[in-house]
Amino acid sequence: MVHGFRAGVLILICALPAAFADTQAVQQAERHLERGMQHYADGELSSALVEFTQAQSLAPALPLPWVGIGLVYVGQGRLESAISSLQSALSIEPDLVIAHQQLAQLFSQKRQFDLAIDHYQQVITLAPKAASGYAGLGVVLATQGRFSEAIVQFDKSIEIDPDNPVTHHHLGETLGWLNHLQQAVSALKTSLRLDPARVESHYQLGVMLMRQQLYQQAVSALKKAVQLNSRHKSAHYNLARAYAKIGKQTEAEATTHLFEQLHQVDEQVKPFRRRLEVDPSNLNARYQMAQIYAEHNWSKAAEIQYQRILALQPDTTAAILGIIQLRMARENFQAALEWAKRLTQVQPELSVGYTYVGILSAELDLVEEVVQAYRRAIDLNPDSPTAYNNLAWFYAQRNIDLDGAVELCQMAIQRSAKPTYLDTLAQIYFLRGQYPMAQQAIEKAIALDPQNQTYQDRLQSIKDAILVHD
Amino acid sequence: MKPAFASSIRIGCTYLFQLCLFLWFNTADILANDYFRAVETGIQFRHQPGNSGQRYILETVSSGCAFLDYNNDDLLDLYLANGNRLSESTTIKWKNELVMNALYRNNGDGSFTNVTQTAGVGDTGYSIGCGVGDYDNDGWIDLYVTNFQRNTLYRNSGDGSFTDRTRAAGVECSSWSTSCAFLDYDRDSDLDLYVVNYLDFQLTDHKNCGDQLRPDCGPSEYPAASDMLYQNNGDGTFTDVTSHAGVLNPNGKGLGIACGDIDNDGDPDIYIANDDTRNFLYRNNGDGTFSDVTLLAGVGFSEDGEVQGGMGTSFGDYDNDGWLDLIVTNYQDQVNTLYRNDGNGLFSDASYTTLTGPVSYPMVGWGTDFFDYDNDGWLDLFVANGHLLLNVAQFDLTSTYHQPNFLFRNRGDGCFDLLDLGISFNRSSRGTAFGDYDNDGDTDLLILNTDDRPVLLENRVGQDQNWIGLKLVGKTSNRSAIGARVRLTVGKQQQMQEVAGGGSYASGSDLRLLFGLGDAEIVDRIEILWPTGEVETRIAVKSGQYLTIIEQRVE
Repeated sequence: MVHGFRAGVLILICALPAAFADTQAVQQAERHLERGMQHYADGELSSALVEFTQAQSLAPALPLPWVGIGLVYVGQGRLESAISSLQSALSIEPDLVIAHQQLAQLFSQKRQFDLAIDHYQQVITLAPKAASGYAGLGVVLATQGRFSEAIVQFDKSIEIDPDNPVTHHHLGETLGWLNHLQQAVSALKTSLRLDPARVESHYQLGVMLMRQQLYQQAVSALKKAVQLNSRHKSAHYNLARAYAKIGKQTEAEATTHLFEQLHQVDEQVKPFRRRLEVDPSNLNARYQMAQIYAEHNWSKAAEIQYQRILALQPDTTAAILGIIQLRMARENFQAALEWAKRLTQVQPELSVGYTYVGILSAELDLVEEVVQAYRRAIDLNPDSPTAYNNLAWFYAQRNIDLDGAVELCQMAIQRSAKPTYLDTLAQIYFLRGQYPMAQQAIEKAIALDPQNQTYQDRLQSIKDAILVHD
Repeated sequence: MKPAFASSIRIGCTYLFQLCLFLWFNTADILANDYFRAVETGIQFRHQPGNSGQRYILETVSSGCAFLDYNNDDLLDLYLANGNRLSESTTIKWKNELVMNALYRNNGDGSFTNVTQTAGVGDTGYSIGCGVGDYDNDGWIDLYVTNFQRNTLYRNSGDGSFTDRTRAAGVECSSWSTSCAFLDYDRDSDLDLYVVNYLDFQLTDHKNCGDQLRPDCGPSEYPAASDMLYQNNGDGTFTDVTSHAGVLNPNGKGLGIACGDIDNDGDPDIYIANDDTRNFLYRNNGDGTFSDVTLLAGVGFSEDGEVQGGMGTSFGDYDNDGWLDLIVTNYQDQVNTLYRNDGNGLFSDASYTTLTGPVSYPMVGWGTDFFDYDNDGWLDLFVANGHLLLNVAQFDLTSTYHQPNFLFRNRGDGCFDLLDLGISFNRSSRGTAFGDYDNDGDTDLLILNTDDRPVLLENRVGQDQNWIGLKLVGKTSNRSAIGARVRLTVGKQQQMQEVAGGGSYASGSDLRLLFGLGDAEIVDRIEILWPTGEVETRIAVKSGQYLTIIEQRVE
């Protein structure tokens, strides 16, 4: 969608009337538009909005800034504002295809199908050689259950653009609703010939083959779907069913198990997804969804939600923190560090941002940055033990400034006598050769967390050192 | 000109208002199509969903109804469950005597008499459903009513009245119960009771989830309430065996139940249609326990493996292959699911290939059953529809509160045709009971409509074909013969039906079995498999009659 918009806007800018292009304000507006498009393409919706808004105020007679604003709102889930902006564009230029196309999609999303159809028909009238108008109209008609009419539109779209796999896919799916299974299979195979990596077409092909009781073939199609997307719940479900039908009980049970795991995550996010259906700008629901995905290590899904939160509200600390943690979990420390730095810029008075900068700089062995970051974190929140402990541990790991490390660690323990801090202290004493003190510290940690094997191992190391020393 | 113009408008409005009033009070008179005619019953019952203004989720599920012959005069009487008025206060006072369940005695001439008071079955709680069966084997049909909070077991005294035996029998189940079914799961010849529960919800738990137009919270916002299975002790009391029997599942938000022998092993299995959670298929192990075989059987989800909003459900052998198939009605934007029984423990989703699914996509489906409306020997399918949000059309142009009900004609080739019932039938329908109220040999429908009057639809076409009705009376088996299976042979065609407690949505249907015979005047063979396992046969039976078959073997 992003690239489509960009291309569309470029074409439309080229087509601007010369009268507009003469004025300085319009030229400035165009530059804002270009920058806005770039931000939009990069997913930086807030920056894009700023540029589009400036373009709009510089050249109120230009419709495209309104389109840009509308698209940003779409990305932010602010559908009503998006509709209003796109309608403003149309009030200036009633024949703006891109605005009709976007409005059609929005009204379709809002289940206002009559309006969606009106706008798609405008698209078709204004750009009769463009396949997308027919395809879009076909989707709306199919969603309304007007399958035969939808097929007519898909056929028109394919006649213009026979190489679009998506349209063949929609055609196949719609034929399936009408129980025209062989034709559906044919359309889906065409979709896959044009784009062999199209997961949904593999999946739908599998479903159509299941309906025809061609279970062996269905297994092949569905296996491809799950190979391409291992979290495709529906494909797993049908694959399990297909295995069961051909008597492959073990595979059926194993695949059912995978399906159940995916289903459980789905169930957990369901209430929040419902809330977002009603209000796509519900940040709390989006955050809860992201957290659930993150807990199940569905990093991509989690990140999408965090990014959407940021698109709506760029300075949301919780979302930035979420992304930092996701990147850390993937051991992408450089990217995580960039996000941590962003957090310190967004929330310069928040110590946790600096703590993350410290942690991540340590991973990347950026010694000076580690010390600076932890010191800043301590300055900002002297009551929090984390930065004290982390910096102490950093010194211990590198065997530098162990005196300072002891002092830092004791500060952490004064604030919270957590076993992990006592463990840090034990390690520092150990490095300093103060074995009885090290033993005392690690025994306190073990008393608080007797099951921790790391502490037990450290105690053993200390005892061994004592023996050697003696 | 102006005054005259205004006057004519006023006259027009007055006329229209009077016309509306006329239509409002005489709806039954004009309801007719090629298949059914609404009977002018004289019934004054009107369903009350609550109308609190609070949009409690309780007010959405509405209620069911039942056909039952409570006075053994061989005429089906009607029982109608009712909600109750709910105020803005979360304190419920269940003593509004104007709103109660109702029992109507069939006078045999198309009219009905309200006998609620004399029968003593005017439950004034907030009722959802009802189930029928002779749990004490005394020859008189009993009644169980599911409520929001305390359920009620009415024992038929045999003199036209019932006695509330709930507490003594131990079947109060103070949850939010919806559907229920009498069944003899342990095959000890007395009827046990499965109670389907929906949500663990009190009015004080109510919350808003959406915007002003659509504030309603769906079931995903509230925890589930586990179902209950009560084993009949044979002495008028029951024991809660939910956990022991293996049907304790805290994750089900149950609305519908169907009981039937899905694996042809002689004992009843149980299917639960859950809303917003996967459905349950409990296979009877034959030792007093059940196994949840939903996932491997493939009946827990939609074709896409998605959880659906299951409402009503029923078993029936629509393809006459000797295996019970399964229909589940679902919420809007989901298709109703028809699962074809493959006969090997697996089911296939036939919703699309039978053409029953796609058309249901915009509807909210409730009461349902397979029945042979035209007596051609193939089970057809009925689905009652109705949205649960009164203002749905304000925010969703694809939907309406009142929706058309569906009658699907079985073509006999694995597909169904949707028949046009006409717009005048559109209501927000819920529970539906199936039975031959006028004993003319075809199946009539009793439909409970939310916040509206129920409608009794007389079948206009079934009597044009031959038929045979069977009233089974258990002796060694339970008296209601629930769980008995009949295989009927006419020429090369075999049909199979079971006497079922439960099915549809929150409703109880005629316990007699009715088979369509097409143009065949003689049934070649009737084979009855009683719940005890005994088999009886009748050969060369004349059509056009209700045959009472009393189980032969008496120990």
